[in-house]
Amino acid sequence: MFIDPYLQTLLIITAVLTAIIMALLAIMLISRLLTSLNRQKYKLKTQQWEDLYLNYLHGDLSLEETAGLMEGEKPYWLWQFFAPYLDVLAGSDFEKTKTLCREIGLIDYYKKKLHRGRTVGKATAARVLGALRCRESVSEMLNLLQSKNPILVQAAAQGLAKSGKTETFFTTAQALLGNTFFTYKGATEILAGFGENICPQIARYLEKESGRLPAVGQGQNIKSPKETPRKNTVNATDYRSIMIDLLGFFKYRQALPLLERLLEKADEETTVHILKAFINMKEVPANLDLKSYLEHRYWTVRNFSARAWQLTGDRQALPVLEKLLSDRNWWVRYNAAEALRSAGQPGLEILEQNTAEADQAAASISSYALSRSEV
Amino acid sequence: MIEAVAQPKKILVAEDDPGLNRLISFKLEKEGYKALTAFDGKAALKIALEEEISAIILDIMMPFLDGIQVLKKVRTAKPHLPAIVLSVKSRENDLNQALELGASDYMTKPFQPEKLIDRLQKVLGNN
Repeated sequence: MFIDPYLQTLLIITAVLTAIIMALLAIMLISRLLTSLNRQKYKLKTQQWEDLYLNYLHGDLSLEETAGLMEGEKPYWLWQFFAPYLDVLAGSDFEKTKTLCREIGLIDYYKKKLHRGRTVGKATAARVLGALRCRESVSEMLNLLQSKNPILVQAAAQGLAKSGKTETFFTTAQALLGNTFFTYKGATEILAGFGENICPQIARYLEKESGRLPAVGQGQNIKSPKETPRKNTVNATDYRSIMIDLLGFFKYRQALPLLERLLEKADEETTVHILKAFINMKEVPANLDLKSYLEHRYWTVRNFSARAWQLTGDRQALPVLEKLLSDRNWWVRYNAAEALRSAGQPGLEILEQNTAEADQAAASISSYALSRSEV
Repeated sequence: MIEAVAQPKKILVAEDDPGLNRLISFKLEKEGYKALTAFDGKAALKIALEEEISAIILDIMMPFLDGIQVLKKVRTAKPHLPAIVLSVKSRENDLNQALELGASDYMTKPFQPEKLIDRLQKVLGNN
């Protein structure tokens, strides 16, 4: 039978394409099936492990018995199982969990990974060993901080923060700022893993810093005491700001007088972070006059001082807040209106007067604040 | 003669972390309590209002309804129900609010479960 060569080619192409599509569909189906089976298997395993683990913690099962029943399982699964407990447990239960992890070989496995693994393996190992507070891995994690790979720097920072080795705090902070692209918020969350015990260290550092101000400013680089040599340099203002953020995060109110002193010589960025720290601490130093900050040339400073003002309720600043209702920045107008709303009757009266003002921005934000008040 | 058997005290464990919830419940059962578990705020509120419970262990951060809201609603129906609140240190304001709402005690994570049981026994004793 004669088949047109053109038709023959078309048939071959169609057959090949169909085969490729079928193969892809089969791969997707098999991979979904395997994932689902793996998930079920993991779920079953964790149910068994949970029973063993709880009985081990309670002393109904010995370390050897428990480890014997858990040994040889996939290390990553075991880690996933233990990780949530390590986050919330303290004292003897934490120590017993760590001993169990050591006995089943989890610590040795991840120590090897940290030493010789690839990026993902090393990063996981740093987090695991940090969460297990393995002090013997600290020097290796410190080396990772100097890596060119931001993923490794981040993992090492998380590991060191969880390890409880507060003496590595400043080095870790410098590496996070110098070798990764974290925002202040992200870096603060990682560094907060060190716990609130770092606050006195930070306060001492800032105390020394305050002696050096105002020589420090944008573009200058810092030399922090007892630090390892750095590849990248860290902007002094960024570094100081993150320290202040951490004091705010932990609501370390003992540092209020220090922050007040720093504020006198602070640049704009530092000022914003100090005001944010006051807001987090829910306290503003008693004698601090916020008026000059409410009139500051930078909108971020005006914005945060309007928020901080709500903690003082200083009536003398009410006219300044009223002026801010016409600010060119929406956030400043919003926070000024919120501040007035929080001031009670005198503030509400100012807002009411402004609803009828010719200034459209002031009228609009005042009406909005008053409507929120009614709600 | 039939002797009356003392029923174990029911404690509601409202904690969204399943591992921690089961760990606390396990420890409570070993101490002779009956643990009722809830993994979100709505379920916690339902159990707290419907069951005869002796105390509640309440996590602040839970889905659907947070611990503060649960405590507020429970307080109107059961003003004297002992409640121990669990939270992370950074949510100090929530803890203060919980104490203002009449929480008997609080613990910040990470914590020792034994200490939680001690505190529970103390608030049950006081009650």
